[in-house]
Amino acid sequence: MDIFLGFVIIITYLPIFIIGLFIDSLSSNKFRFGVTINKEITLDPEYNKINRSFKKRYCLMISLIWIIAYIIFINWGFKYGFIISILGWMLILFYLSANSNKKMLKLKNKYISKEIKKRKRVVEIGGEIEKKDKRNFSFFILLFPLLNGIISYYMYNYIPNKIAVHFDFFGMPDRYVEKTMFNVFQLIIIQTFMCILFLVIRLAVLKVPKRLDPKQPKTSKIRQNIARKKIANILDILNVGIMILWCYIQLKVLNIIKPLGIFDGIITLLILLGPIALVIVYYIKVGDLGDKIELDINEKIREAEEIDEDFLWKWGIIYTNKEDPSLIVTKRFGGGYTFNFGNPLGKILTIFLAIVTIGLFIMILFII
Amino acid sequence: MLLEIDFNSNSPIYKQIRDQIIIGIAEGLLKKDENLPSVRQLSTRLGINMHTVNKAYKMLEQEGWIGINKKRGTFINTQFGGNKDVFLEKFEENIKPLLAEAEILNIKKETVLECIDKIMLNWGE
Repeated sequence: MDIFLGFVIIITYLPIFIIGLFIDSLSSNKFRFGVTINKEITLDPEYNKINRSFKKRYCLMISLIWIIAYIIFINWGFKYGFIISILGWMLILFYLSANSNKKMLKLKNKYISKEIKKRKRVVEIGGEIEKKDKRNFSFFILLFPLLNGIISYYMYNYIPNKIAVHFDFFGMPDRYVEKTMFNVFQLIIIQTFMCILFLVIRLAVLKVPKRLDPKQPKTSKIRQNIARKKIANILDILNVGIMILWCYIQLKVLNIIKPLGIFDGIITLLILLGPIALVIVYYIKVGDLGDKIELDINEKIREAEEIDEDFLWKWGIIYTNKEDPSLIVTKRFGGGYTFNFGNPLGKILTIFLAIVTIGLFIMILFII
Repeated sequence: MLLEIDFNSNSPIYKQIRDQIIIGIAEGLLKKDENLPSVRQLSTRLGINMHTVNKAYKMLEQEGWIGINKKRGTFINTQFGGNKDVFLEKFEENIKPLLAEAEILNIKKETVLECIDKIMLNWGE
């Protein structure tokens, strides 16, 4: 069984390892390790050296952490090995990205004097964009927890006094509790919160300020519009997938559906891994700024540069700009979005997220 | 319309915003009665201080180009009630140093008029 679990760890750890290896390819082509770059910099031999050094050190460190995690897992148990591997992965990525950011900034300094002086920022105002998008059906996803709640309410009297609340990888129940209103409805409460959370993230992503490339503002506008629509759709698909999975688990709790054995595990993996694969494809083919999309538009390239904000990005990861009222901004290292640490609410949310992450690790260590 | 801020320009940012909104109206890119982003929205999009955008909006409101209303937000006025005499006075004051430069650089009056024609013809479209 230990060998089997070890194999499971390798399989689950492999995607995380690969994501880390190519994490910088997920961010916009305009940035490397959080530093704004141009073509001139990419032609410097030092540029390739920094990229190669990141990958080499990453592979070495991760291999070491994995061996340590495996030894801990064999001797002390699964959860300790899991924590060490994930924590190690996060720390390695943090250290290497901060270190590569420093090197890239040093390389960039060689080119600063040669750069174009016209620093501009272009945004879109007026026209269609001030009108609110009324054709938004995403809120209908809330019908899943609602329907789940109605079914559970009507089935309440028909379910046995002991109900299953936890299922193993093979979908078999492994923990039972007394039937109470809270125990029956706890999954639905979590499901509703998750659904709302996804809808809020979707709205927040759509509201992130669109800053257009001053060199080709019109092309950049089209690219960003496509990217926003795609990521909103992916978030909806992910939300629906999780809602279906949650409804399926609730039907098992209500004893309406019998566990299907290994198929339960496969269905769960597919529902979770499908959208994750979509997200990875999105970052490889589209990107948050849409600059990886192939477009057939011939807009003249103007002589202008986006304002250099490298100094506002600590280690290329944390954005701190008190002048900027934005709460969420597009990340420079890896895909996704991050809070503006210069915004009071952004600071609170960043600290809150850090506490939640630490809390999750503590929960795995001491509660589960 | 695309609002473009040049951070290296000698012209202050609030003035760049004000000027470009007026040009946007003249070019027909901003229609009468059309809504503009709020002070917060625009400063978020541009990544600049809210006071800067507020200053530009207040200036535009005082000059009668836009209206700011709690219910409707910020919008382009349907009627521009600017005083033509005041405008002409301001126009003369602003254009004088530019024309003086043209004179020193030996640029002919026709060339200057052609230049003005070219800009205004573009707006007429």
